[in-house]
Amino acid sequence: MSRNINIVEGKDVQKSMPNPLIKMIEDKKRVINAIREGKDLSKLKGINFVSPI
Amino acid sequence: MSALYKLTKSDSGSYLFTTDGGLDYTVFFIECPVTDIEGNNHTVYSFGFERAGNFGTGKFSSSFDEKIKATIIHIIKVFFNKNGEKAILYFCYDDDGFARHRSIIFSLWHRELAGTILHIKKNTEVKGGILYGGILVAENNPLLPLLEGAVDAYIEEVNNQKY
Repeated sequence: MSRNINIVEGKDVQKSMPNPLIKMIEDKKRVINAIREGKDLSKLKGINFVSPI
Repeated sequence: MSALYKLTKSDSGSYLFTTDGGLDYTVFFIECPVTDIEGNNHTVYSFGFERAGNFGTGKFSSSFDEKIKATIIHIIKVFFNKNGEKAILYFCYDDDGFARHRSIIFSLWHRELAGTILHIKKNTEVKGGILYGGILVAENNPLLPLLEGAVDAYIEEVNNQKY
């Protein structure tokens, strides 16, 4: 899917922000490695764990 | 449906369970805000589960603990009961060469959720390799087109090797 530009606003809203998937992919790798190594996940900096259930 | 493993919430906000065989698993959600093309903000959750410790990667075993499957499916069902307007995004990493296997198994597990929760595959190419992944979203979620469009645009950016 190509990125659409919001013509009305005259800008590409998504493009003006960092791609959150890149951080998500890297964060998840850090989490998986920490779990395998038996590390405390609460010590991982910059990762926003949530408990939605 | 099989019996479930008992979940314990950890200090980090992740969930833990121990299998009958003594294996420790961690289930986690990471908040991932996304913006759609109209500028609306949505929250997508990065979801994953992993076994503690290092384990052999010599051969992929097709046998698995049915209670693990039941527990993960239960977690996803509860998630959507409480967060019907949200979405789950997952990726399977190939550091051990079994990402595709995991992706296939997850697709098989999704059969238990069919009819209420959509599974939209979102495989992408990252650094010359395929990153298997997908979105889980409630079938009746009216925001689905916007959510999927937002994720697609970000994935396209990753595909374009801007990552």
